[in-house]
Amino acid sequence: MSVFSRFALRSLARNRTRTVVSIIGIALSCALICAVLTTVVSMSDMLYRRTAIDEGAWQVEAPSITADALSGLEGDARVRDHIEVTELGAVELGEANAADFGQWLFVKTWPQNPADEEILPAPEITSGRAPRAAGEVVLPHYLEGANLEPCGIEASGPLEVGSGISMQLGTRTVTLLGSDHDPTEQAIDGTSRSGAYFDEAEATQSFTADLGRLDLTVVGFYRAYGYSGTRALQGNSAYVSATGGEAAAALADDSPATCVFSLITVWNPNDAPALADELSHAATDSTGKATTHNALLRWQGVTGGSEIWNTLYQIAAVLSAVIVIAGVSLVYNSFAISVAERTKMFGLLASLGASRRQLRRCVLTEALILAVIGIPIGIVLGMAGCYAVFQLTGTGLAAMFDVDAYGMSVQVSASPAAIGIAALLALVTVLISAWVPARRASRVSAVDAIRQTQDVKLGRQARLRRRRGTTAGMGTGVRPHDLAYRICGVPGFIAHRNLARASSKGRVTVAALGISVALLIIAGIIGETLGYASGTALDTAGSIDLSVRIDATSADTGSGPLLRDDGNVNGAALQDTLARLDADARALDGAESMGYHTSYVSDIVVPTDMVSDASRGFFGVLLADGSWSGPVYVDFIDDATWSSYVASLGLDAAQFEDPAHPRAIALNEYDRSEGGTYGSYSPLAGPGAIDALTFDSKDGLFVGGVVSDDAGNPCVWYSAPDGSEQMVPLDEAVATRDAIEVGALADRAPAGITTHTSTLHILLPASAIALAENMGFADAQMDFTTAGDAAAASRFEDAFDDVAASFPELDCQYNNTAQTKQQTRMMSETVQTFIYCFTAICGLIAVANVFNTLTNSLILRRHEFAVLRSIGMGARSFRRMIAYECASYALRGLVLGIVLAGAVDLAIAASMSSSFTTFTPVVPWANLLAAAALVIVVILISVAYALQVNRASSIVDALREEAI
Amino acid sequence: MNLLRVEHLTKVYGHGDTAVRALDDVSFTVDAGEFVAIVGSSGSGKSTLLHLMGGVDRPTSGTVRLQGADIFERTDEQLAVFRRREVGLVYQFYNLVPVLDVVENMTLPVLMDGREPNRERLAMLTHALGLEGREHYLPNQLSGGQQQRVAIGRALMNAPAVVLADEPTGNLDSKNSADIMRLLRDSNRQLKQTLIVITHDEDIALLADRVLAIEDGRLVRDERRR
Repeated sequence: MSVFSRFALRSLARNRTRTVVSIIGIALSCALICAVLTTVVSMSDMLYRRTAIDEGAWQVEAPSITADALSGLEGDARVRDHIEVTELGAVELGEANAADFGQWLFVKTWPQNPADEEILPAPEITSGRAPRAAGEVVLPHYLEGANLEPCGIEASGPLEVGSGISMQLGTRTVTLLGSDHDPTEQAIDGTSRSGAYFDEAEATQSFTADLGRLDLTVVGFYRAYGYSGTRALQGNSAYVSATGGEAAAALADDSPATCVFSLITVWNPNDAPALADELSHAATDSTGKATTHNALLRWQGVTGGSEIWNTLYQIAAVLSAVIVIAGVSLVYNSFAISVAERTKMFGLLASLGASRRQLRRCVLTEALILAVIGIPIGIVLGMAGCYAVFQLTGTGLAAMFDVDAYGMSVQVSASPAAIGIAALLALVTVLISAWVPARRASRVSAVDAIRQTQDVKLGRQARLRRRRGTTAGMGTGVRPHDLAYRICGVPGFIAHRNLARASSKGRVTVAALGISVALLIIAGIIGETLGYASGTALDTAGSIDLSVRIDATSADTGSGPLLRDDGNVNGAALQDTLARLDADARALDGAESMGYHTSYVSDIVVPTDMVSDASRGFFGVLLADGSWSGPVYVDFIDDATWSSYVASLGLDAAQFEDPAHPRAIALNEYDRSEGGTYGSYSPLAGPGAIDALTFDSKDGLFVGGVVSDDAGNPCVWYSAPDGSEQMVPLDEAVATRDAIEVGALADRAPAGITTHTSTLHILLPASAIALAENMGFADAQMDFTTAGDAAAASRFEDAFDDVAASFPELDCQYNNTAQTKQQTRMMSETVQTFIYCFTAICGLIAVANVFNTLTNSLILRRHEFAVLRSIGMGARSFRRMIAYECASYALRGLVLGIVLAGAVDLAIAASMSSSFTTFTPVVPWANLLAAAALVIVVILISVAYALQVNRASSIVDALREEAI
Repeated sequence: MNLLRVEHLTKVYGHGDTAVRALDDVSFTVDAGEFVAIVGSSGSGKSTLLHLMGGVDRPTSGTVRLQGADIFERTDEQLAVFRRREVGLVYQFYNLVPVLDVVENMTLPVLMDGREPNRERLAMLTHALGLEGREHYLPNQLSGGQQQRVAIGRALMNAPAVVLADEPTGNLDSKNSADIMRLLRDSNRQLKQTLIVITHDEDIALLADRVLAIEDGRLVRDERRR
């Protein structure tokens, strides 16, 4: 071990606290990077597995692969595995069956995956089983029980599991007729790749029964979606068992109706695009290009072009950068101080002949020793943290990635690459941090070190003052006149001199404090912002846990106890029935009723004076006179809910609950999203009278609504599907007109009525149901709360359903919103857990930084303090001096941190408001206060610790240290 | 009456086998206005003695009485007050506060006492110490001799009962050394300042009224010269 390594080790051992704090800092940075990367890798891996289970693990598909290319795959070192699906030919179902079952059925081999990997998931069997032996076949589910007209499939009786069938295979030929511009006919291969359906005007199809006949036993039916993520399974197919040799036979024959689809996995996902390119080059025009499985490759980190920025890895990169910066600010400080403290030692070594290189190495060796200890600890911590957080948020993650549906489990994927990168980044953090101090150590001048005067570099202002022959406060008398002196006496005076004249040392401290404060505030802001983003989805359903949508019409078509002679819902009768159902439901245990309402749709006219200036974004086009007409919801609220709603709005019960004079309340606060951004609207200017209208019906014409004609007069626009239209002046077209008095506007809705809509809601009490006479019934809704308990809501649903069984005139549909909310909440909690972990660790780094900087800057001044004490400074004065200095650091650090955080906050707010128009950036007072409080607590602890250390050393020792 | 009475002063560093007896049962007295030189080789214990007399360190046993009072009966806080009022310390390496200028350094003990510095005394000292025109220089802008003169100024500013100087010329060339010693002797003669100087330089010791010699922590010679 060289003498310089020994120096490094000794100095680490001597400054144990700083060494430990530095190791903690390195370990935390490394742990955080490791955790972030592992989380991203694990999430990617879950998404990868989900995609692989859903769509198969294939990475490249070569449709109609050539014989050469197929044999080439065998010797290709990049290829891990490949399976083939062979298309054996087409079966003609014939014109008679085409309407029900399509015209063609393509016969293919059932995909046979290797034991360890599902390259291509086989279609879902709906009955029977998959084909296993020669002569077995599975057919599409829609053919089960079918009695086919005579066609390419011969069967005796309906197709069932166990049916024996005979299929005539042949070649389908498709001839594209060309367009008017280019009437050249073009024949294309008749495989499933070409598609099964063609417009007769664009293509003709012919069939030649030239590929033999297969006698088969139906062993099952599979679910045919009509589409597939792979071309191998595309189209309506009959799958026979592969017995080997089919692929070779299909490649050997010259028939354009047979082909081989090859699905390939590669060892290294990055090889997939190149392999696909090569296979595409090898392909002829008629075989088609090879494709890559992009949905899968994306999660393996293989994406083309800018898509990379849409992946989780971008987030990981940003977070890692933040962590590296935080880590550097911590470790750099530690080294800067450690080197400053030993300036004399380095100067002495330099005077004894140490080269700059040796001195630099001495510091870098220290850094490496710290890294070698800190990084493994960090990786262990990071992985442990990852396992803990994944354990903690398992259900939320499961909901987020929907893993249950795919039979997967949430698990941490320990990726050697992620761990390696984390270690490397941590090492880079340490080396960056140590580099500048190491250079500084190597440039220490031997003369300065031996001369032993401590460097005090005057600031510009201080130099100017000195040139004028005065110092601040010393101008006239002997006694200083500083403000600091007046307030705090000598301690304040000396502290002030320290701050003003040793400003370069102070700047390091202030910068460290500032970065830490900013880190704390920003972490809080990020947490809150993301919380807002994930929280907006949460409160849409309010406190409703079970809502029951009730329809009266679908139970019977055209007639029923609740229907009028004209086929429309009898509003009053429905209201009575609902009241009885509600009473029965309220008698049940397990949930609390939140009332019910019936919704009707009506065309209305809102007069000009009720339309607010800001309504354009909500209403869209207004009529020429500034009024608006269009369909709105009219909701009739049950009387009990109405009463409490009226009371909650502070309205007069006598005015709004008088059945003889019903007054409506119009909702006037709507949030809605349009193309990813959210907006808030208040379309109405004030209360007033509106008209609910119905229009005369005209044969063959539909009412298109009220518009202004060219002269600006309101007209009803009628139109027909054939394009004919008719404008009738409003007054002539109106069939019925019901005046509704809107007595008040409300900024919130009673339970069950959503404000996340772009349709106006007019609310009325159920007692005013007579107004619904001419309106169209939409639905009724009854809401219950179980205090967020999804299971209770589910139990209540069963109980309610039993009660509802005695109301055959009603048709109930249930929506367990508690379950949805619970899932959303879990996801949001999961996101927040990750954010909080990130925030907490960033906070820890910040705290360690403050502690390290302050304690070291104080311990560094041991000698100076000893001098002051030796000439008679008492302990109390000393404490006051330190307090004054620290207050100054804390204040400047806070200001710097708040400015830094403010800039970041503005940037975040700018990006947030582009996606949330209702997002208003607020000053994060709580974060500011928390950061300030935390910083002050840490400062107090650091100072207390540093003073403790200083007190422990005797004045004599400290004074003697002068001579190194 | 003796100004300073040192009785059976013993200081042991460390414990057990590694214990070092830096000072071993030293007793002597100093009268007001005396100029005493303490001589001895390196490691003889003379700096330890000075630190104990200055109230910077506490002894293992024994007492130091200044004007009759045992200084070690004071609390640390009282000892701090004692240091700034009753003693003036001058070190080999000056030990000035680097961020304070000449005047600020010199007046620091007075200021710490919450008193108004005596402007006449300050002017007299800056003049006598040859620091005129350099009042607002920072320590690192001064030569070693100048820095030591500031340190002497700081020690004298409060008119302490005793000035204790630890190798005040140890870091200076012969001309500067002579200047500093002349200044110290002048303060003794003109201001009747009690002065105890530690040195290993016999020439300096010759300037003193009395020479105490210390070897291995023991007082081996007490020689009055006039």
